[in-house]
Amino acid sequence: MSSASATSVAVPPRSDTSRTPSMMPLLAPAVGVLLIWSIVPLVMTVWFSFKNYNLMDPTVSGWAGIDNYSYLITDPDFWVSLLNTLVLVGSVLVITVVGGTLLAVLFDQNFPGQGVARLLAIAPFFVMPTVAALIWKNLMMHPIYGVLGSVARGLGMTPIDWFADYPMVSVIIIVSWEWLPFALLILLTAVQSLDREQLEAARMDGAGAFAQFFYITLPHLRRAISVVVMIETIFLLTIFAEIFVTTAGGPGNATTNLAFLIYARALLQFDVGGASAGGIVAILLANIVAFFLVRSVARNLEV
Amino acid sequence: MATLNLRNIRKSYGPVETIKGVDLDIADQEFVVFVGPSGCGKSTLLRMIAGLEEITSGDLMIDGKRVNDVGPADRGLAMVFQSYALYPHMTVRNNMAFALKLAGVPKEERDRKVDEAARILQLGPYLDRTPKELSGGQRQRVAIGRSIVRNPRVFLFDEPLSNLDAALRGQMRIELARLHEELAATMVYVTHDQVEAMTMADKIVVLQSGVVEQVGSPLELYHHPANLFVGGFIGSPRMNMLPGRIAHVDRTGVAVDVAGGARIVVPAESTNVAAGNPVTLGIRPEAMRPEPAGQLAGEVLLAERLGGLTLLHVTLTDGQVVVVQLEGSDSTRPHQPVRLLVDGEACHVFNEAGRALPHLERHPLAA
Repeated sequence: MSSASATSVAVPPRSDTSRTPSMMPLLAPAVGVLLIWSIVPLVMTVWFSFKNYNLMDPTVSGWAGIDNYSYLITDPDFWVSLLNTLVLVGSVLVITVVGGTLLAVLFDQNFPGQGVARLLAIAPFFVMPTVAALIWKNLMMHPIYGVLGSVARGLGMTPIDWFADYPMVSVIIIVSWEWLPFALLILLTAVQSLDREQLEAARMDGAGAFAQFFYITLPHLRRAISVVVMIETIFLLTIFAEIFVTTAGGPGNATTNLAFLIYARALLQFDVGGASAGGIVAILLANIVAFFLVRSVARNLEV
Repeated sequence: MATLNLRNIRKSYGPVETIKGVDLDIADQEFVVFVGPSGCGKSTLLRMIAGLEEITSGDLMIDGKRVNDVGPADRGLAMVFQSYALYPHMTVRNNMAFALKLAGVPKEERDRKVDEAARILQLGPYLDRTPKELSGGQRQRVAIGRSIVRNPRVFLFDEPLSNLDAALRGQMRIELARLHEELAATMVYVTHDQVEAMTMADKIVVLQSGVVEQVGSPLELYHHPANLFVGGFIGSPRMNMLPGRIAHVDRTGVAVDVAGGARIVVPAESTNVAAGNPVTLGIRPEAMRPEPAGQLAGEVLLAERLGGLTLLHVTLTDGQVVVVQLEGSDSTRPHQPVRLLVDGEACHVFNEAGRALPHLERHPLAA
């Protein structure tokens, strides 16, 4: 929603505005459905965020004023979850964009088995988040049964108990594994659209492999990278399944992001009012991020 | 400056050989044009000289030094690409200075060289624009400017004018010729446009399926084509090719009988042919004119009047269509019977293998 409204700001007004009034009735049904679709849940969330509403205790009711919000803001968990969200989004973005760019350049080269390799590299994107998280939790990172544990023991080292010792790192690894293929896919098509003659001209100009990458390929990928960053940010802000399946937000609140905090408030502590307040904060956060992202991306896309 | 020598250059992609042994010498300051139909290997050959394609076998020498294994940047060449291949995110200035920047040339010197190139190409006002803000001709000039600043020993052009409209192409042809004179550089130019080849070249190399068919000055190729392919490829409208048979030979030339019983005497060497041999008679469109006493009989199929020129398409008695080019505006109407007088001295006789019988006298301008 927010992204849609922000883009419409950036787009210059159409010249054929004279036609708009007569089209309004025809557009109304579609716009009306969309409006209800998006507005009703939003209004309900706002409504609940000002109410005392506990699923386990129907006797607590009535208006709460801004209590839900003040509890939320004074809750140290909230600030930790906010930080965790940013750390998670930021790390995954860096890993997928950098890794995706390098892999895209690599997969653009001709080598035997290129088609199969590309397919395998893109495959993780088709694994659903819960399944991916379970695979990583039980088959890869488990200190006893996991592949990483076996490798560590085979090398004579102590296996790492990933989710106990490095919970956030583990979640970042899983989410990066899921989203790297997406970045690769978008960036690979972008790399392939690079005019070969430009690279050849750069070679004639004396550019080595690194100079070609930094002066020609990377500038060419700028738009694709901003698209990847925008789309991934929108999805990464709401990461939930991976955390729910692996760490359940813990240990403590080490991997609780905003989405998981809201879930915990609503369905573990049955505090719908508090969760709604968290939801409103999440919407505000997403809108702020989307606003800046769409603005910068739109500027990039205009070039 | 620089000479280029190609010695039995070959290129194979797997079992497919695309360049089949090219020998060529390019002198200093020469403007050499590679022409040929698409797929003849002319661009591949240029890219091999540039170092963008590996040479499968043979030697490429620049100034007498073998450079097969030298990288493209170190051969001292500069190339202008068909798509110009400008760096879209850089300004014109940075595009032109890119090679110098990579070479670690200090900024003042870079600016000086770019300004100098911009002056030669009249690009001064556009130095701070990006390529997409320029017209096709300006982009073309930037691409040339990018090669000038490197001060290369040899300029390579890969069909540089093919993306421009006809008017601009004519203008750029003149500009390139001027540039060649001003820079006094060796230039190798690939095109499929024979007008570009004829007007700019000191030396034309005609290629077909990876083989050099003939090397020579434009007028040499026009007046003394070595074989059927060159005869048909150079010249527009195309040379008319009539099948015939040798009637008799003597010291003054070869008499050829073509369809309809017409006999045309061509002053060509007759040492390797005898009466009765099947040959092909090549007649340039301008070597014929309507004349009551003409050897060839036919009917006008179509008259194309271009103002300064008139092209008559004439169906001969055996059904073959020949094109006749006349100066000025001609009044001949379609469906009118005509007789065509053929100037035997301007005709070419090709033997069964397609090779031309050499003329007894060379054309004065085709040394």
